[in-house]
Amino acid sequence: MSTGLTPEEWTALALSARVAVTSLAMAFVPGVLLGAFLARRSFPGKVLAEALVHAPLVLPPVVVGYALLLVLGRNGFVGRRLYEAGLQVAFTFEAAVLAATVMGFPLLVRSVRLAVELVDQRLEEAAATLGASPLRVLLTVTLPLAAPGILTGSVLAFARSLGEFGATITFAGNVAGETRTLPLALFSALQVPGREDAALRLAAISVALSLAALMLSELFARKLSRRLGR
Amino acid sequence: MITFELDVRRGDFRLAASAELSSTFTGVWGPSGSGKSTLLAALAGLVPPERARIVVDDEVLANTDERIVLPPHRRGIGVVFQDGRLFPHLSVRGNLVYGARAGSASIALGFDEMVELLALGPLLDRKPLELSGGERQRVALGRALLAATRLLLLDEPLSALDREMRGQILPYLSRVRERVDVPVLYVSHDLSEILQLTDQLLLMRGGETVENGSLLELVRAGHVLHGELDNVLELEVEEQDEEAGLSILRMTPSTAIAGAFVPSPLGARLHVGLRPEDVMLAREHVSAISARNQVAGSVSGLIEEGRRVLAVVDCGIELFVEVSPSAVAELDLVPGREVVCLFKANALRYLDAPLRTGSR
Repeated sequence: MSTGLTPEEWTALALSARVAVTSLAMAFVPGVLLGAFLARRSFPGKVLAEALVHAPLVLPPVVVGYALLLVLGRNGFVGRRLYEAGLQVAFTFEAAVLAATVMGFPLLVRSVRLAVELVDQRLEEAAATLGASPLRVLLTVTLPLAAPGILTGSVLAFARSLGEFGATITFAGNVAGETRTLPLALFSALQVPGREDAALRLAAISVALSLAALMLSELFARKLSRRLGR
Repeated sequence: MITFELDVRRGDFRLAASAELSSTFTGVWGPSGSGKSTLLAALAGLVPPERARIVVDDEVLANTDERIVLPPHRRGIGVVFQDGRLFPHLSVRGNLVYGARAGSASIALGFDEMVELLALGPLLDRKPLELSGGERQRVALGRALLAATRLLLLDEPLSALDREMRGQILPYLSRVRERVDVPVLYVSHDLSEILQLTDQLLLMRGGETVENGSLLELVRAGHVLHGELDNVLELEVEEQDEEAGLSILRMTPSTAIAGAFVPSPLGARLHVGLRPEDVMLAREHVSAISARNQVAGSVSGLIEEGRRVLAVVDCGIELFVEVSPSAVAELDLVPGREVVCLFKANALRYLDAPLRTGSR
């Protein structure tokens, strides 16, 4: 069993990191705003909206990938127009990012929502009497006080993106260097007899990355909480 | 000048309040549950009204008939809440400057002067969690003062503090009262506390505003129940007799009275409470009596309430004295009658702890 990673495995690791970072970057602002919105506002159809946002948590990932394919695939009702305009989404790096984003998004929204619900609304009232507009209250009181939850949610979404498999392979395929992320590389290795050592290495890396992310986020969240006096 | 008419429903509770207030410092007084806090919340725009008209110095902050309801952040109304509500993630300095605006209540008072006035200097870099209850309320007061441009509301700001702490904050409130340019509404269920700051009252009962005016006007109109009434006097320490256990306090230019010894420097001004039921009336000075104080005055009013009578005695300042109807008859108490008020030195209650000067 060789100690180092093969270039192919490095590529998969780097690709996974790129996918996870990009999808978190895309999901962060909408996820935080949506989480805060769901925590603080009620509107008709809220239950349905929440169910839709959170659906990827409970649906089989293959179904999510298939749904993305139906919409954005070459024959999908959006994808067809994009394809005619010279843009292909499915089976590209962008597709891998999109699949990871959709799968990680509800984890972020849910964490933010729970954290914002815990923020004392009386502090928001106090801020309003001090002349702060609702947007300023959100940015200077609500979100800073919800920071531990936002951080936790981001890490969960990031970890989910790193490990996303079902939606990715369905919507983005398994293209080396393009969409073959860590779990897909692991899956591919398992398909070939005699590559158990590679599979084992990739599995170990996955475990290490996920645990590291969780522990780091826990440490940071604790530090933040202490600063906020909880 | 503050004018408001408010109709607010919160569950089963209904607030129907209206008043026209011309004094710059008004105490809103009533028992718990009488709607004082709801009134303040409605003025600040924190609870939606069924109907509201709020005009402060000719500026319409709300008029539901014309579909005007300014949101809280555009009202310029600062609030000091019971529980302070400091932002835990910001330092004291961060809290103070959060809402600081040009043209605020402290228009004559910049940030530095506010810090000086409320003795906040040593606290500036601390976090709210590291402060005592009294320090927190001082910061909350400074924060609201730096933000309020039209009106300042204080919602039982001392109720979360113990007695000693209250005594330490009240002098700061008095200082603020003298320096601030915007009108203040001060809510409390403790009449003595309000009377240390103002005698202008807005009376509330059962979710309604009853009447506003000076304490004397309200008492004359029969609004203040005897058991709740208190005489609050501001007296100057004139002489100390520690051996006899007495402090001599100047009440009026011609009268000094004796209270239990209090370790305050000569010349200090103290708020002292004296309950109407702790004062006796006599027709003339009494010799050989244990009560240390005999203050001459004349009856300026008699207010009957049930089986008790409240006599208002003008001794240079007006004192409320509770007497029984039979005593009224026996002493022939009528307006203009010369009487002597008798009370023990121990009947005087010191309401404020001496203001600490310098660093702690």
